[in-house]
Amino acid sequence: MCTAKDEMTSKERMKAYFSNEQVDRLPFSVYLGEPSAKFLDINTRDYYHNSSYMVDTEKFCYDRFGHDGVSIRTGLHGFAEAMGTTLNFPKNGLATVETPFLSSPKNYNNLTIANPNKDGRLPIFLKGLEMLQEKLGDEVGVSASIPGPFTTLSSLRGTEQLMKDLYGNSEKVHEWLTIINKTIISYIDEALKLGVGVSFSEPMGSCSLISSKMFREFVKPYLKECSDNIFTQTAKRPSLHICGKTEKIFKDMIEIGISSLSLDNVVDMKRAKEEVGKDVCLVGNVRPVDTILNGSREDIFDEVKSLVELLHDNQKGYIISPGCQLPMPITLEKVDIYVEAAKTFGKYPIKL
Amino acid sequence: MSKEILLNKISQSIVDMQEDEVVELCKECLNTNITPNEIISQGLIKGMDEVSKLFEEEEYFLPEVLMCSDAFNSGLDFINPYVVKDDTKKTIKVVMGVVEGDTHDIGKNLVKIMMESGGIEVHDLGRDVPLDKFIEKAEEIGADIIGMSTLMTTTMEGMKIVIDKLKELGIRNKYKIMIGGGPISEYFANSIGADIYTKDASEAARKAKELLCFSY
Repeated sequence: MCTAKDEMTSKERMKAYFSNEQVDRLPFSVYLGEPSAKFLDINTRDYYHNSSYMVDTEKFCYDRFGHDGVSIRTGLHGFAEAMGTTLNFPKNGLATVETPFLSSPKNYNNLTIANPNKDGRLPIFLKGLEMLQEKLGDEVGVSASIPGPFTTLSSLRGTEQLMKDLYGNSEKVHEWLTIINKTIISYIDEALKLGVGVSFSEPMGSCSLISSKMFREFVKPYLKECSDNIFTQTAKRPSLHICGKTEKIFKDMIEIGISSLSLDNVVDMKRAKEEVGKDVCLVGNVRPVDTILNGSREDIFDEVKSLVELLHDNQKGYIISPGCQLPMPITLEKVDIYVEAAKTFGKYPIKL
Repeated sequence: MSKEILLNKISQSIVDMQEDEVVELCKECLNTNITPNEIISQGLIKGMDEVSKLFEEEEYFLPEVLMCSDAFNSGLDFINPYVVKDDTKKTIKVVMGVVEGDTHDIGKNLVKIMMESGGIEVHDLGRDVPLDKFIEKAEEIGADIIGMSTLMTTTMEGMKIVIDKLKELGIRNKYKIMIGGGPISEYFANSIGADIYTKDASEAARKAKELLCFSY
């Protein structure tokens, strides 16, 4: 494992970095979550249902890697579950949708707002956030990692059906999204009371699935509502990750109002820097499978180095990160190598 | 209306996502003695070819393609009972599914649509498919191609496991392995020993046919 000692706590570093003051190194993220449960011999099914397991796993990773940001994640289907979708929890893998609530005609007009203190596993996540904030909140930023409204609707309706609904059934889609947003905002309100930040994943809004026109109609306004709600309460903005192709919606994502933009490894970071680097801190996009899982030490070092080269002088800042979540079979040793690379090339003054 | 105009109207109605209109036009074609095979190849499939092109050019996205394919399938369902089957023609058989741990099947469904509209016989295993199932089914039906997809980085490794298993069983060369999905790349395909990677569904259907030197 990487033994290089950090000279600042993550909180000090982030604050200084975003105030354009001197820092010891560039911030970095590890983008783990579920795959890290096995580091503590916890299976994913148990991990998904136990606040302490989530917190212990985050703490273990933070102690070992020292990355800049820990989180409690609802997963992509967490809100959908709280609103009626049933999930399947494998022992070694990500939770998957079993029956989307709105796929049944009898539920079509019966979607209701979930209660964050009662429904699904939302209380487990909130408890986890509270515990994590208490344990690590002084040193490192804690965030509630949540899916966006459009992704949640996809888990409630079924992706294929939702895609067709965008034609001919758009009024209903808006009605559902409005109800979902009320759920999300009430969860956010609870999370904000704990003093944590918010980070969004909205993979279903990707241009790998829908056009930029659809993004502007069905995704952007709802995420913006969430972001504005957070800003009103805390004067801070959430971070955002969208998987897949996003070049055509760079500007739209910025207009949502976000603190940082995490991009998938299929996106050209040079273009991102040119187009929106002056507006937002960029996050990404080391290839999680080709490089971190399957690549050699040299591959990992090369890729981190070239990203730092390209992005360390990005006007609004840069956070070294995998382009998407690390895969289930990832080993501690492989994450260690990535972390070592991030700390080596990210060290100030940047020498490449 | 002339034959050519009618068939073009079918193609255009598919591109325009007009399901009812496609069926009406198919009816009209049959009444004017255009053969079912002509309706399928010159009207319906030609329409879907145009849809594939628009998808590759990023003019059309998933919602559009799904609406078009509904129109295509309605037309096909209407025409199929009138088609005279030709059993002498060898069809390409593909077994496909989304690998275990992932339930995102929309990309796979899209590949299925494109392949079927190109005359390929697709055996769809669905999503979250246990890895052994790919091999079992391929052996059972005598498939030419095994197609695997995933949208998530967390499950990509499943594809490698299937390929390794085929090698272990000594039957790797019986099949062409085709992989795809959001996080998959040419590089990844090469690194795990897959035969083909394609970046989107229409390319997948085209490459599948090329791979087996099969002209449709």
